[in-house]
Amino acid sequence: MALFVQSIKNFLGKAHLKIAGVVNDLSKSRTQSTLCCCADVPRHNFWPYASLHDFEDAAQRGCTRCWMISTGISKYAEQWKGIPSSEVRVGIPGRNLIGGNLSEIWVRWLDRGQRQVWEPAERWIKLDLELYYDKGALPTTIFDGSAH
Amino acid sequence: MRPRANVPVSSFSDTCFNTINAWIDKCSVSHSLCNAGNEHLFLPTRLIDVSPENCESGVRLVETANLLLDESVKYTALSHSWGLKEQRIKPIPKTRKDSLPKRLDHVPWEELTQTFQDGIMVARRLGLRYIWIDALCIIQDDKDDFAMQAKQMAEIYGRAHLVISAMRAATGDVGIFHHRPGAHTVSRTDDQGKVSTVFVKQRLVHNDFITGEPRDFKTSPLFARAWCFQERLLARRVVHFSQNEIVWECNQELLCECNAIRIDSTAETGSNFKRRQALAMQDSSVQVRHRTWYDVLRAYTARSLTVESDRLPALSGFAHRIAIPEMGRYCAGLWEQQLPMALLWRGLRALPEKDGRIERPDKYHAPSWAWPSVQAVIEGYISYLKDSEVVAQVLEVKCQPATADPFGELAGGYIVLNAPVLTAVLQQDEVRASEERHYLLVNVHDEDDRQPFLADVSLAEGYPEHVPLGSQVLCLIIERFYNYVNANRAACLILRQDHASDSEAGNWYRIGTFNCPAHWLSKVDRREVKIL
Repeated sequence: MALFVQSIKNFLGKAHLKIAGVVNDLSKSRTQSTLCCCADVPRHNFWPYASLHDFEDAAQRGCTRCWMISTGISKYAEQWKGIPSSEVRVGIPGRNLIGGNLSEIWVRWLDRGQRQVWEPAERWIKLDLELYYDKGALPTTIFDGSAH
Repeated sequence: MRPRANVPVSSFSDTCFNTINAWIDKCSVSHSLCNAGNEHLFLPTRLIDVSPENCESGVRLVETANLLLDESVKYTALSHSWGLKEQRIKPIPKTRKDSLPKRLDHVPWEELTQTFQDGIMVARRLGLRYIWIDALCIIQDDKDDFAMQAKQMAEIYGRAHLVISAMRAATGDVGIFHHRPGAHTVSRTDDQGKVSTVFVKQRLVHNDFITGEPRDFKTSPLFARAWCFQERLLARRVVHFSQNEIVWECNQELLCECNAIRIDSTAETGSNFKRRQALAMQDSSVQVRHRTWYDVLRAYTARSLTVESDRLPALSGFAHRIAIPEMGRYCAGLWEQQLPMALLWRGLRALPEKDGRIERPDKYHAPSWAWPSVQAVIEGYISYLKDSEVVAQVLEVKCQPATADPFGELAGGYIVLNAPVLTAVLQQDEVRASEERHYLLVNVHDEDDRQPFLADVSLAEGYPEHVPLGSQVLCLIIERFYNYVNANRAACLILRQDHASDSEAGNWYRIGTFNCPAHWLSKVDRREVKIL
C-alpha cells in the first residue's frame, strides 16, 4: 500500500512539474513572442486578453497595424480618462485562427478603474468600435497582412 | 477589414437623399412583395399639399375627392410619436371641425412642429407632392371621422408610396433631421510616402429592426409606440430616420446606410420581422394567418399607448388586413374560428412603464376573456399537439363595437361556453408569497392536493380584482391532452364569480389560465357558463 501511495505521489509530482513547465513555456511565448497583439489571436480572442497598453507597446516597436488600432481606440480615450491603458481590455472577436478581419474591436474597462477581482458583479463598461476603409477606396495594405 | 459606406454626418445631405431615392427606385421596380396592389387607386380622405400654388409659405390641406386619381398622385405618410402633453414644447397642430375650412386654405409653416416641417421637407426633396399626417388629416374632434380614418389605416399606410418614420423623435419638437456621430480618421504615411487611411466609429446596433420585440427603445422612441408599430407593419416601404443612420425597410429588404445590417442579422431570412409578415400575407391558409396574428400580437402588446382605450383601434388596420372569411368574426382581438382555444392566451410580462406589474386598464376596454383586458405582453395560444381534444364548445359570442369600426373600440361583450367544469379553492402560495400573481389552487376533495396557479393580475386585497383567499373559483376545461409530454393534463380557464350580479346564474370573469392535473378531471360536470 505504502509503495502504491509513493508511486502516486511520484506520478503527481512529475505531472505537476510537467504542467508547470508548460505554463512557463506558455508565458515565455507570451512575453518573448515575435507576434504582436494584432496577429496573436489567442491574446485578443481569449482570456485574459490583451490590453490597450499591449497594442500601444507593439505599435511603438514598429507594428503599423497595432498603431492603427491603438490610435483608433485612443480617439475615444475620454471615456476611460484616468484609467491606465494596461487596465483597458481590447478584443478583436471577428478574427479567428484561419484569418478573418479586424473590423470589430471591443474595448472594456471597469467602472471607476477598479481592479478586476473576478466577481460576477463587476461592472465592465463596453465600447464596441468598428474599423473600416472607405467603400470607394482600395483596401489599405496595412490590414491585408503585409504589415508583418 | 470590411469596406463601409461612410454615413454622412447630416441626414439632410444630398448623399442621404440620393440613397433614399435609389432604394425607392429599386423597390418600386423590382420588389413583387412591395408592389402587390395598385397603389394609385386609393387616396385618403384628406392630404397635405406640400407645394401648393398661390401659397408662398406653409402648406394646405386638400380633400382628395377633388383630386383626379392618376399615377401622379403619390403621397407619403408620416409615422411619428405625439409624445406626452407635458413633454411637448410646441403644441401639435390639429384639424378640428371649426378649423377645417381655414386649413383647406392654408396651414401656416410656423404652426407646424419641427417633425411635421421635416416630414414635409422629406416629401418635397423626394418629389412627392402630398403627405398624410394624422393630426392634420383626421378631424380630431369628430368621433365618426376618427373611426372612419382608423378603419382606413391599413389602406392609408399600406398604399402610401413611402412612409417616413421619425424614429428618434419622442415628441414633435425633436424633428427628423440631425447630425449623426461621424467617424474618426486614422491616417499614416509609410516610408515611401504612401498614405493609408482607415476610419473608426462606434459600432451601430441594428437589433431593433431585426426582432419584432426590441427590449431597448431608448434610442428609438417611435418603436415603443403601438400606433407606430402598426404603421410600420402596414407600410409597403418605410424610411426610418434613426439616431445613427437612415434605415430602409420594405416588404422585401432591410438596408441601412452603413451596410452592416445584413452582416448583423440574417436579414434575408426569417429574422426580418416585416418581411416575415409580408410573406405570411401572401398565404391564405388559416393556420398561417393565426400564427402571424399571434407573432404580431406579441410584438404589438409590448408597445405603449398614450390613450389606453386605443389598444384595439391601434391594431384595427392590421386586423382588417389579415382578416379572411375562414377566420370568422373578430371578437375583441381574437378570431372566432380559433375559439375556444384562443381564450387560453396569457400575459407574459408587464409593459416597461408599468413597473413590473400586470394590471387591468382603468376603464373597460374588453371582456375579461380577451387579451385587451390586461396591460401585458401577450402570448397567444395555438395548439400544436396532436393528441388533444377540445372539450369546450362555444354557444354564443357577442362583441359590441363602440364605434363604426368592427375591429376597433368595444362597448361590451360576452361569451357563452358549454364545457366541463370543476371547483377549486384559491390559496396563497407561501413559497412565492412575495411574487404577485402566484397562487395555489386546492382540490376541493383533497385539501393537501395543491397546484400552482398564475393569475392574470394580482388578486390581493387592495387591488381592483381582489379575490379573497379561500374563495371557490371555477376551472373551465378547454382542451385535454392525452400525449406523453403533457401526461393527461388539461388547459383550463380560471373564473371568478361576480357576486354582485343580480342575474340568477351570476356572471363569470376570467382571472387566469391553469394547467389542470389529470386526477382532478375525474369529478367534472358539464355546464353552460357565461363569461363577461
